[in-house]
Amino acid sequence: MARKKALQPSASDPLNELLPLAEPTAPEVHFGAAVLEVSDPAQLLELAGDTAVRPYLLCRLAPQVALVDPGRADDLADVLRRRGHTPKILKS
Amino acid sequence: MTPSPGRSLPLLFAPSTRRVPGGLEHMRLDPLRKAARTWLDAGLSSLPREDLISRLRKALEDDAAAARVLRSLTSQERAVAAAYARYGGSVDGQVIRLDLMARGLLEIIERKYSEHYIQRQWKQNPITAMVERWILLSEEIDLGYSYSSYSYGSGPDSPLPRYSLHAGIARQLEPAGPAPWSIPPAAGIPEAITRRSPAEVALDLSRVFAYLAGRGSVKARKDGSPAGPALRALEKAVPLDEGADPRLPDPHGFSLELMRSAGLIGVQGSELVADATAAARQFTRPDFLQMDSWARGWLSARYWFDGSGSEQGRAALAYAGPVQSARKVLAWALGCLAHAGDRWYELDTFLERLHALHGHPSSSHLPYMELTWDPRLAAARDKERQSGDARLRAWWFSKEGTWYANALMVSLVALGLVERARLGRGESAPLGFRLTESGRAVFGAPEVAPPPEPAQRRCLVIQPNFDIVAYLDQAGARTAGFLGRIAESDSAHSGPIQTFRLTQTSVYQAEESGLSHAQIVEFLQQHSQRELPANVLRSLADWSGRRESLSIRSGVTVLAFPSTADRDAYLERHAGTACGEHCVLGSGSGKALQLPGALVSRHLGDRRRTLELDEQGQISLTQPLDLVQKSRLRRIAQPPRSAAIGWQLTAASMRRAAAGGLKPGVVHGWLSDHLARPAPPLIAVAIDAWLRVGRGRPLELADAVLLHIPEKDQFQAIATSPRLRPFLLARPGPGWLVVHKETRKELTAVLEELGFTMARELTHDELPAITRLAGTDPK
Repeated sequence: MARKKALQPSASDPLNELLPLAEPTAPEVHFGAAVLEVSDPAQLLELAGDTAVRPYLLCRLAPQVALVDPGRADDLADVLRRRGHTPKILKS
Repeated sequence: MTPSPGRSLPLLFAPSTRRVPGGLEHMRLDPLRKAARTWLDAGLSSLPREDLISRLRKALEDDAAAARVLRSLTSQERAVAAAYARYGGSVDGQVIRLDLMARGLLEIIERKYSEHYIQRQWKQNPITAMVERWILLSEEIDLGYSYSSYSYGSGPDSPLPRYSLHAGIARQLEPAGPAPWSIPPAAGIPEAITRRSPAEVALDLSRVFAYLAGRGSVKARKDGSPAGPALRALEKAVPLDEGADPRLPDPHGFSLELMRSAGLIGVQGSELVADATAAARQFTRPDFLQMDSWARGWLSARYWFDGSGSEQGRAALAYAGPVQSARKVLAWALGCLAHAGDRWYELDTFLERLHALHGHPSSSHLPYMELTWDPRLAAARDKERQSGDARLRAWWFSKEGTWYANALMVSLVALGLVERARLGRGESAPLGFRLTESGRAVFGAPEVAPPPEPAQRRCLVIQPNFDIVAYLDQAGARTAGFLGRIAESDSAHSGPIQTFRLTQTSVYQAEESGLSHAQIVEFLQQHSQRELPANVLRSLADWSGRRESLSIRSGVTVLAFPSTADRDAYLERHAGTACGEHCVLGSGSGKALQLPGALVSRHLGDRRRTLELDEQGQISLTQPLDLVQKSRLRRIAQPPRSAAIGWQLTAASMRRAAAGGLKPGVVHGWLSDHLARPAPPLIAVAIDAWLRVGRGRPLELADAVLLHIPEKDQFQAIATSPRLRPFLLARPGPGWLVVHKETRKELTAVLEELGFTMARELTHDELPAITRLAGTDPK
């Protein structure tokens, strides 16, 4: 219970404002999806705070994983590279 | 032909797989009976048609029957079959014609009927009889075959049709050796030699590959050739040395063709996609195998032409086949020379002897393109002034000869297979060439053995400022191919000593193309003349770490559950990786990834169109929102304020979307993805207005005094009257005039004085009917 409480986003959490944690209300299956994974949750705050990157990210599936806007993973990679990031591209 | 272990196949090797002629069931009875006399026992050729076909098919599939037919061949036919077998059994018609003529198995004689009419015909031609007996099988019935797209005439000056030696015979026959065709070696001493090592070739190709792999893909045209802007971006990013004159046309287009042929680049839809695994395999092959692979790529290039560069569309379609055939002829001729040893040859002599063997081809299909290099062949001079045979000969040198010169002295020099030079001092010395060591092995296979692999040497100096000085004269293709993938160079300079630079981008591109951090460090340590600078090692580790810390994984299946308990229950029964509190990541779309009753969203297909939008901007739901829909609405719409008022597009929500970086195209795209019916036009233009697209002319709204004159003649008279002009301001449409407000009473008095009856109410047309679109129902 304590663990769950710790994960509850606070209203003042800037990351939750920019990129809320997903709260599905029914079971969902998303085929052909793309996710952005970071090693440190703070990286997601940095990326979501960048208005050039944020339109490509929809919500967080986990503190270090964001769901990418459908069909725009390649565009996201290009934007990240243009902004000096070096994303590792993995295709299943 | 089964190659000996460790020996490579001839460059023009194409294995024969045919045993049965195409259209056997539909053949006339005559040819069936003729073939039966070869393939069946005596007396069976008179069987009824159906039985005959059945027996023939069985015999053609039988190796024992093939062995018997092989034994029945005359020595001349056997020699022809062995020549076919040298090339695997299936040979280009132009090549086999030259090959058999060089061996004396085909011979042309000339019959002079008058001073102006000389007929050329075969003195002996065993091909016809071998075709009739199905020892040689035509490939041209198969419409899928590329050579069927154009055809030559018939006669001794035309290429033979493309035939396959019967596969059962081909596998039991010892292939012939190389054709005994050669030319005398040159006497002059080569000066100003132009040559490229396998390392230089591999370096350029790997640099182009690294660029492509770093981007994953580049745009392609419909025909699979690289799109113009993509090619120009590549040229800018990866400058390549085009060498001294004569220069290789469009070296980047050439590189892409070679890599496509070697499987390093594939076409997926409208993109050229880099294959990192294939590149890793190719660039780690021994020098000879890399060179052999690039030579095969040159032979099959479809969108790049020797002497003219990249072509698309109709030109590529029309000329690719004939150019490929001419390249095979050149490869055949060089194969013959490869067996003569390490010699220099004069270009003019080579072309003269090749022409002499060719004869006067009755038709040529080489492209009429302006070639970048004119070798000014002596035999092509004054072609306009010649007549008869001399004129035909001069034109051959002007067109075919010049094309062969471009392919031999430019394309193959760029590939490191041929060296070129002046055979003597000064510009007037004849042009000459010789095959490089790799070239002799590539063209002379299987008899000419590949050169030994260069010893691994420490050929790099790596400096603390990340510069790498590479001594390519001490490097093999493997080393150069690796270096080109991990380091960048701003310079197009070519030569034995070149400078590169390790950068975060170059190392990132290398890792994206499939190299690991450990492989890069190991390579640098192995080839560096000194210990790697500590700061270089640290930066390499840092750069790799940064890449590992941020990844985009696409093609995954996300399963989302309302509670962690539901998610955990799923994971107890199925494979997948837990992600956060609610999700599972899997891959594929298998049965295990189906959830009964779940909302299903296909990110690469049609999205769920379950929203409706009205003119108030209000969004109603026909089904529950999924994560994508909810996240997108959260960005562009005001969340539900009550059970009665759901999501709504408003000026404030759009301002917030714009502030978050969303562009109008994305907003429209999102709505289009999810709306069951198109957005009402008013809201569509409102979205643009809210997001301030175009900043067009403002709308105007103000009070005005209007004079309506329904009668056309009256309107014309009043609108053009000099007396009334001071009262009038504008003409908004036929029958309507705008009046200066302050002159309203005065104008009324004047018009009444003129006898017009004035009414105080305006009569006008109805507004156009309202289009009934989604959410625009006026009720």
